[in-house]
Amino acid sequence: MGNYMDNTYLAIDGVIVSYSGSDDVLTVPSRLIQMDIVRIGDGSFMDSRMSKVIISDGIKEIGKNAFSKCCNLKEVVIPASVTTVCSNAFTNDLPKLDSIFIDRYPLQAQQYLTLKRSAIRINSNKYLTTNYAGLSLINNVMNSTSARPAQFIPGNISRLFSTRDMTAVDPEAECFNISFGLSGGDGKTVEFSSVLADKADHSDPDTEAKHDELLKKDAIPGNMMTAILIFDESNLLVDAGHYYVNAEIRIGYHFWQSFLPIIHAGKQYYLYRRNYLRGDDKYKYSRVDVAILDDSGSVVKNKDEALDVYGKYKILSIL
Amino acid sequence: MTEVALMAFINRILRNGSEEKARLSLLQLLEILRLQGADPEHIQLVRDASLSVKEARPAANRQIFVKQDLIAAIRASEKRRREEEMSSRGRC
Repeated sequence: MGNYMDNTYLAIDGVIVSYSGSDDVLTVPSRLIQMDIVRIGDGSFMDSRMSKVIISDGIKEIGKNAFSKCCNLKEVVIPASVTTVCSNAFTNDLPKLDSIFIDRYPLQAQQYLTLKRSAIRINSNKYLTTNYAGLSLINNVMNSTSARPAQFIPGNISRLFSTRDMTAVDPEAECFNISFGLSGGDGKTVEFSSVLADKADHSDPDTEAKHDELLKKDAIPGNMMTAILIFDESNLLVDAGHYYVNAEIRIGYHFWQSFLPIIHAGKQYYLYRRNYLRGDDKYKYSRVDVAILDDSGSVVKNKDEALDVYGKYKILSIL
Repeated sequence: MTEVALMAFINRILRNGSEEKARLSLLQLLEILRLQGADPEHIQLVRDASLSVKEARPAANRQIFVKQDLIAAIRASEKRRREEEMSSRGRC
């Protein structure tokens, strides 16, 4: 691929290594003369003065600290070609950053966007938006959309929002302290996690019997509830910053680990979730580990098969 | 990449932006050179330069910047780091 140098850009083998321009609205090119740009290198735009940056379609990765300390940066446009945003790419001293637009068109099959640790941090009351069909503005994506460690937003996401302000989902469910919700590909299935909820709702005795069989018997401190809520997005009400919706609760558990039955391509699977709470011996912060189990309770080793099953149910946690 | 081109890159990186940015850019360059299977001497030079940004930047801002200038800055940086390490050790 070769080297490229002009007054503004240094690039090697498709990676922008350094930018030294002074544009206010900057379009990061996906081609420099005869070199296709695939990666924005680590730190390459650090300290730059632009107020808006548009990343051209074709670029696939945004490196670590790529846009740190861009003190005037307010607005960012990330194209659908970007599949990875690395740690702290849009973090660290970005006091004016208030809008990041993630373009997910055109959608490709299995098109994932990986956000690495603390990839994006925007200030309170600001917006992370995407143009996926039907998606509306998202309020209060606070602190970070980062996941610990790398997690994925599937390409077929229909809604991405913080439920931090949600005070009531269903009065009978008593879900509270909900951290985050992610819509599945059908636009109607949303999975929530709440922390330290007290009430369990085991509505399916056959499923519960299976879960008892699969569960470990050792007592683990701290319980979490996981509920699958089915609702129509058109019924979602917003009132004074709070979200309200009546939802059918499909499954709820109060165990430290949970099993969600999933039927996929005619086969029975389980989405296994293991919740680690803050102060857990192994981890310093809360996280959720997931695995796909087959009908016998064994982990599905075929990665493609597991991703097919799991693709719609990924969860990002803001904790 | 030829040595001349490499020095031109290093020069530009050192002259551009803050010390932190220069260090990150040099580390990025280092990673690319490793992936390319570049000359080990070039790789070592960039690695050393990434550790010596503080000393190398003034040299890079002069009208002429050649490999000997970078090497001199690297040696000065090594000396500084040795002295800092010595002074931070306790005395018996």
